[in-house]
Amino acid sequence: MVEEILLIDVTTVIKASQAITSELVLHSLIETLLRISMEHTGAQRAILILLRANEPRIEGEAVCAHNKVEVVLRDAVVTPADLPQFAFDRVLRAREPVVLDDASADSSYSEDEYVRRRGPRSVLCLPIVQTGLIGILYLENQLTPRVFTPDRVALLELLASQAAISLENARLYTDLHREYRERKRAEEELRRSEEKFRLREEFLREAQRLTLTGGFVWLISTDEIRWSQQLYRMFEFNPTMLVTLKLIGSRVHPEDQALLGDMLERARNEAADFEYEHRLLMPDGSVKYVHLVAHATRDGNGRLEYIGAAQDVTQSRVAQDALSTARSEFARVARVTSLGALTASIAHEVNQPLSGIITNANTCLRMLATDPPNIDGARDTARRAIRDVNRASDVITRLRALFTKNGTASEAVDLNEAAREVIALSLSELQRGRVILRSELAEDLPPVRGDRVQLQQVILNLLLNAADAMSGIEDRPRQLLIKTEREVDEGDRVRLAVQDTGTGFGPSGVERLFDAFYTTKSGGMGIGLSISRSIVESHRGRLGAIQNEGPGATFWFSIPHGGTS
Amino acid sequence: MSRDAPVVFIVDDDVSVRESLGPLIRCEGWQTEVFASAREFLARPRLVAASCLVLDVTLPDLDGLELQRLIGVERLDMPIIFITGHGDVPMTVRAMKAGALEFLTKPLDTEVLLSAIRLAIERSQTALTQGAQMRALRARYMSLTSREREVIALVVRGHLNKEIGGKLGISEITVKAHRGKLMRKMNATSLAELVTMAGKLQAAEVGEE
Repeated sequence: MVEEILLIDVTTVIKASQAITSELVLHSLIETLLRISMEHTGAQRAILILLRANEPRIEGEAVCAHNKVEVVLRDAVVTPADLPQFAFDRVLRAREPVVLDDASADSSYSEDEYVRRRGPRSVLCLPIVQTGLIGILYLENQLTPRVFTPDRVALLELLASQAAISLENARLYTDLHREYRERKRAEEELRRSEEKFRLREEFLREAQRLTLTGGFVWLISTDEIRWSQQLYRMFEFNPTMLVTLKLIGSRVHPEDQALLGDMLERARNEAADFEYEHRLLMPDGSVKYVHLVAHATRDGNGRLEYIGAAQDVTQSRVAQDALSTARSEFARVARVTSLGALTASIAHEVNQPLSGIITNANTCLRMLATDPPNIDGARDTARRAIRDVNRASDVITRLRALFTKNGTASEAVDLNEAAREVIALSLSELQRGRVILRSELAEDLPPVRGDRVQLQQVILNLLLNAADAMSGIEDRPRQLLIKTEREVDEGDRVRLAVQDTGTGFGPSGVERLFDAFYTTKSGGMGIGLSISRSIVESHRGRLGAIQNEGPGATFWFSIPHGGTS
Repeated sequence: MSRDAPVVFIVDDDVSVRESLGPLIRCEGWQTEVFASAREFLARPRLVAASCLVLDVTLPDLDGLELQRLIGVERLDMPIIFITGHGDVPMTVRAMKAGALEFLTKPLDTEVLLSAIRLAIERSQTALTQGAQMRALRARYMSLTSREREVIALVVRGHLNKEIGGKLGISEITVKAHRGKLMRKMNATSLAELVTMAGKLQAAEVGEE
């Protein structure tokens, strides 16, 4: 093919031109251009250089070996080892083709490194121009001089101008394609992150649905409230409704309105995290229990807002109530059982001497009824009867001693700390009774000496009594205040008071209140207060109670502090 | 109060009960022996005379029901009357099943206790009489020769003299002679009486096994 003299006809030009223009993909175009250039000019080697940001780079190289054109795509800087430097420079500068008939024979090029080392004969270096130089096509033949005849050069120039357009197009196309890919990737990323976000939201919604938990945001200054869908479902409101405190209030159980009021007031004033439990009265008359947890925070403008979650805990509450009922039933049974065991033991202790008394009395009668009467025997028997009576009375004394016996531990007890622990223990019990607990614990309370556990039993007893006293109250809030203070009048005493808004005890009750077995409670044992009093008294303290000015009663005890043991 | 009077044993750890029961029971003409624990009572040699045991259920060392088990059921000659400060149903059932005559709770009703003791003594006497008869019967049986015992075993099963002779390899006349002798030795006036005696002996043997 190389040795053949090629006839350049219009058909060839058109075919080549079509081949070039049909290529839009840059590397295919490079390959096609190189191949056609080789095939139609009898060149043995060809290089395509393109200017990328004004820097010439070799994009492809074609060589003829074993009658076949092989094209290699390259990406390299142009070096003097690639082509004659002078020809390259001239084309770059003048943008005119350089055609050499026999480079190796011309002494003026013998200085060139490439010519000296590789010895090219025919050389053609052609600019590719399209509103400026965009590339250079270099062709050579190392065996034959005068390969690049004027008509071949003309053909190549024609192809080169065509190639210039195609190259530009291809570049544009590549750029476009890159841009398109980038945009596509960006879109994909966006889509993926949107999907992730959507999934997360869906997950959150699903989690809310599954856990029967709804989220809310409450901006205090404007009372603006936003609810999650689940919360609408829980309250059974239409999701299009505007949530207001009034709307919420309309669902809250009438008995829990006071609790709600207390919660709202505290939330407004304290700007602190809070946790509440209250009931909802649904339109169908059913009751739901809602557990509320809110976190105090500030919005962008520094305004107080609460972000929280409300959970429908009806199921667990119902189970808890059942458990609680079972537990109190169990406690009652246990109490009756222990009382029963106690009764049996008391009965046995008393029955022995009683049996003796009856038998002795009977024997005595029998001895007196004999003829003659056995006076001595009767006298002995009567003496034994008297001894047995004394014995029975001793048993009673011993029993009393047993009940009042106490081995009291003595340690420094912080009544505030003791009270806090008791409050923590009984809080759920109090909340269950819908009791609103408030505590006012004096800061500078000196410790008392005594038995911490026993004193806590007294506090617990007072708290639970107060809650019990309020269990039937529906017309007013069930408020419980636990208060500690130093008694200023009698400086060396510390006082703890528990104030309720319950039924109170009436003036006649106060006197008998602390007697064992006296109770105003239907289910009570009445043993609590009398034991409490004996515990307080063993701490050299006093236990008392007063009727409040308003509804309810206040129970208190005071214990000397410092220097006491 | 004669020395042959029935004996009422009293075992109770409570001094009031213990000391009041003695005089009452002695007033009724019975002898009493009083113990404060089950072990003290067990240390006493067995008495062969009409007697009964008034036993407290709750005792310090060994409780009444344990003691009842140790004494054993064959002591028909010493019925047990349980007394307790706090009896419950299962305890009562256990005691009665184990052969107790009565289960009384303190404080004791004097008349109920005394009539229970009276019944117990009666039972004791009956048991003693039966025991004595049984011993006599056994002694008579023991006086028989081995040949006579062979003959009596076949006689009470209803075999004829001829059959007995055949089985034992002796003549009918010899059988007749053995038979006459054993009837005299056993103090039996009829074949029916002899059969009853053999039945009693056999029952006692089975009972002892």
